[in-house]
Parts: sequence; C-alpha cells; structure tokens
Amino acid sequence: MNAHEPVPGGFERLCRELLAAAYPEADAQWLDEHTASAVAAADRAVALADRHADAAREDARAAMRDALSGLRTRGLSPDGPDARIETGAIALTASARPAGARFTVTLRADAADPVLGELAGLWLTARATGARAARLPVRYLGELTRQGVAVFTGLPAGRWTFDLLAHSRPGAFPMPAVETNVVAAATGGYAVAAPNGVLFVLHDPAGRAPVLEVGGTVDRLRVVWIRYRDRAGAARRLLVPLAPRAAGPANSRTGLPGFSPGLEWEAGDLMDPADLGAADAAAAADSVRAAADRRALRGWQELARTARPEVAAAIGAALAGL
Amino acid sequence: MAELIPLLSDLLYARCGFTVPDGFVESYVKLHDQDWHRAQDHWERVVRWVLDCREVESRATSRRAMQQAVAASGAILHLTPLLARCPHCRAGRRVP
Amino acid sequence: MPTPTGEHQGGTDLVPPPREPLRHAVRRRLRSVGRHNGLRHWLSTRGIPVLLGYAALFTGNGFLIGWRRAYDVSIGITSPADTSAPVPAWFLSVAGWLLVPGIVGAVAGYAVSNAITSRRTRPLDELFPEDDDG
Repeated sequence: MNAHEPVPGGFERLCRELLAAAYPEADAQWLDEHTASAVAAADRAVALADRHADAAREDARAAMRDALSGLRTRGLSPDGPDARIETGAIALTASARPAGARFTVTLRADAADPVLGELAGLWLTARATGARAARLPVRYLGELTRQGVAVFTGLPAGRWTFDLLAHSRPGAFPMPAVETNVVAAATGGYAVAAPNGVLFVLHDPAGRAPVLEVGGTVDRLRVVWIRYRDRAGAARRLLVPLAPRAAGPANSRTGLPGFSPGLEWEAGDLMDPADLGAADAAAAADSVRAAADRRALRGWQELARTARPEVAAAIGAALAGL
Repeated sequence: MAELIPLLSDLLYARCGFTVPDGFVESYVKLHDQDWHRAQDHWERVVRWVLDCREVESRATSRRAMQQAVAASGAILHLTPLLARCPHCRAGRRVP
Repeated sequence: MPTPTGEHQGGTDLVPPPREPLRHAVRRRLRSVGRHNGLRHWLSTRGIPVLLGYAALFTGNGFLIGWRRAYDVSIGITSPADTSAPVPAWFLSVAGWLLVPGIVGAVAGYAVSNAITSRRTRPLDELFPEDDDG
C-alpha cells in the first residue's frame, strides 16, 4: 500500500483505484470512461499550474529587477555600505563588509512566500565601477538561495551595481551574454568570476577568433566544462584543463569555435578528471584541438596520463593529430 | 515553504503558490462533514500518491513537482465523480 | 512558516480551520518527501532511517553493556561474545562493520556526487532544451 517507487503509467492506475474505491458498484466501462477523463483533467490542470508558476516566476524576476535598479540608483559603496530598497513585492537589503583588501556584499530579499520561492535559484552579477576597477571590469556571480540571500565575495572597492541574469539552469554557472553592442564591447573586456573563485576572461569576444582564458587556484589537475551554442545553433561542449603551477594561479586558454556573442553560455564547476567518462571522449578530443596555449596542452598531456582509459585514448589521439 | 503538501486552509488564498479548481477546498471539506483534520489527511494521501506515481520530469525542481502534483490532485478530486464521494472515507485503509 | 497572501476565496459558511497539531505537521513533512527525485529522495527515505536505526541500536547497547564496550563492539575491537549481552551486541557489531561504512559511504557519495552530478556533463541532446527555467 505504501510503495514509494514511481511507477510508469501509475497515475492512470491511481485514478482508477480511487474511483473504484469511491464507487464500488460501478462497472468496468464506467471506470474506464471516468479514468480517462480524470487523466485528461489532471493533464490540463498541470499545464495550467505550470503557466501560473511561469508567470509567477516572471513577476518575481521583474520585481527583483525593479529592486536592483532601485539599489543602483541609491548606490552601494564602501562609503555607504548599507542600503534597503522596498518595492511592492520585495524588500531588498544590501550590506557590504570589508574582508582584507576586498569586500563581501550580502543581498537579502524579503518577500511573501510565493515570490520568494520563485526567486530561489536566480543568479545575479555584481560589478564594481570606479577608477580602480575599470582596468578589468569583472562581474561576480552570486546565486539567490531559498532564503533569498546572495553573497558576493572578493569584490574590489568601488560603486557596486547588480544585475539579474536572464537564464539559469541547475548545476551550471550561467555566463552573461557578450554584448553585441559595439560601444559596450569597445568599452570593456569580458570577465566573469564564478563563486568558486574561477575567473573566465574572454579575449576578442565579438571577433573572429574569441579565446577564453580560465584561471583559478587549484590543488591538483582539474577540468572545467563550457557549454555554448555556435552560430549555426548547435550546442557545443568544451573542457578546459587547469593544472597547478609552481608560481601563481592556474591558467589555460582555449579557442571557442563558432562562438557567437549575444547568446548566454554556461560553465561548470571544477571537476575531478577521474569523473570524465566515455560520454566525454568526443568533447575532450574537440577541446584538445581547440586548446590555445602551451599550458592548456600540457594540461591535456597530463590528462592523457591520468584520465580513464576511454577518455585518455581520445585525448592521446587528438594530441597526436595536432 | 511552498514545498510541502499544502494545508487545505492555505489553498483558500489566491496567492498560495498553488493552482486548484475554484471551489475545490470548500466542496472537499464539506464532503468530509467539515472535519478539517480528516479532509487534510485524505488530501495528503492523494497528493503523496500522485507525487510517487506520476512521472515527474527529471528536470523539475522539488517545488515544481509539488505544484504539479497539487494541481493534478485538485483536478481529479474536483472535476470527476470523486467530487461526490471520497475514496478514503468509503474504503477505510485499503485505498492508497 | 510564511503565510499565504491574496484574497480569501469563499468558504464563508465553512467552520474555521483548526490549527495543525504537531504530529500532523510531521506526518505532512514525511508525506512530502516524494517531491524530491533521485538522491535526495533516497537519503530521506532510506539513508536517514537506517542511520536513526543504528543510533537506536547503539543507544540500546550502550545502556545494556556500557558505552565504552558498545563503541568497541561497533567498530570491531571487541567481539560481541565478550560482552554481558551478546545477542544485541552481535547486531550492533554487524551494523558497525556492514551498515555504518555503507551509510557513511553513501552520505559522502551523495554529497560529492550532488556537487559533481549536478554539474556533470550531460548527453548532447539534453543541452539547451526549451525548458521552463527560462
């Protein structure tokens, strides 16, 4: 009676059992008819609920954008490290605390539950503007937890502004789309810092041969995957090795064949090379061919030694073909 | 926390985060002779079973899965002959 | 628990709903476990109950044969036959070398694979679907 394993087709059976229990006198034909209409009614109801939930999510995003724009107007900086913005649906509190030479900024969104639940899992970017930050305008990623809190660490001093990213998927760091606007592209480089401390810098993002530089502090060889859509609309996946260096943070460069600005892309967390499996062999081979500097190639050579056999073989073949 | 099976009393509010047919809560509670505890118990059993046996998309979050299960449960309890008879009241413990 | 908002729909001739007793709240929580999929579900329905069962076994043995001996039995230093209550100690011993490493391994595996799997590479045709996460 209390089986908790999902059963395919079980929903129809459940409807039938409920009807049979409520109407023990009913015949099989009556049960069939009403089971079918019950399943149909449930499907319609689920579609409606999804639409409502999507609309609620859009409302929550819009409210969050309003609150963030209010914060932008009010301004947040080391001189004014606390702010509170209240819009209709959301009360946003921001506080900045120094941590060494950098700052940790915490955003907290207070809202009634339906809105708060829809905010969970949204990603924000924080950027510091100001003379010192202008050299490399890094955007820092932060995720809103179920409690409505987003924390940004390592922010440089400056006037901080926040934006909501349009997309997010579980299990990946969403990367803001590269500006296709010529002015925007000319005024700043593209650099995004993920919450795990990995820095992604795009060189020549709108050009013919964009190069992605991935950097971070690692204790052993790690791999970062990148996903994007190319100009033809096909999904591409690349892996970038990060090997620890004697001095300085790890760093690798890779080309991005077919990368087109204007579309969002994603990056994953630092991965253990031992977790690469047969499904990754093709992407690994593509990535070897796309590697854009010696450090990346050295990382691939080490991966050819330490990864699982099916992946190592693909890497070795790609290295030999270079 | 809109992630647990909702209380029937909460479903009376417009912005509870769930979608159920109009008039469902009132009619379901009256079907149980206005015994809220019994109605809540039977409601939870249905939602739990829908959660367990309905093929939920693997990409659905826990929250979305609960919203879908509540919507499906509300529909089958209100838009079918189950409107007039509660299977759990009738059959005691044999029903899921 | 946050209260829902918005207009109250109908029910003017319904008796007011009573408060939810604690045992009902706990039961509702347990019944809501099905909303999780995969690993979280396993942990809630299998992992935690097994862990609680082990804790109960350890506590019971602690009272019967002493806490120090219970510890020694559960990690395999002492044979359960050497205690004053060999039968319950035997269960504790088996749980200690069989279940606990399994649970610890599963919890660690869950924590690690949750981090890895959710960021794991996925089959190519599952990328960028037209999904509801906008």
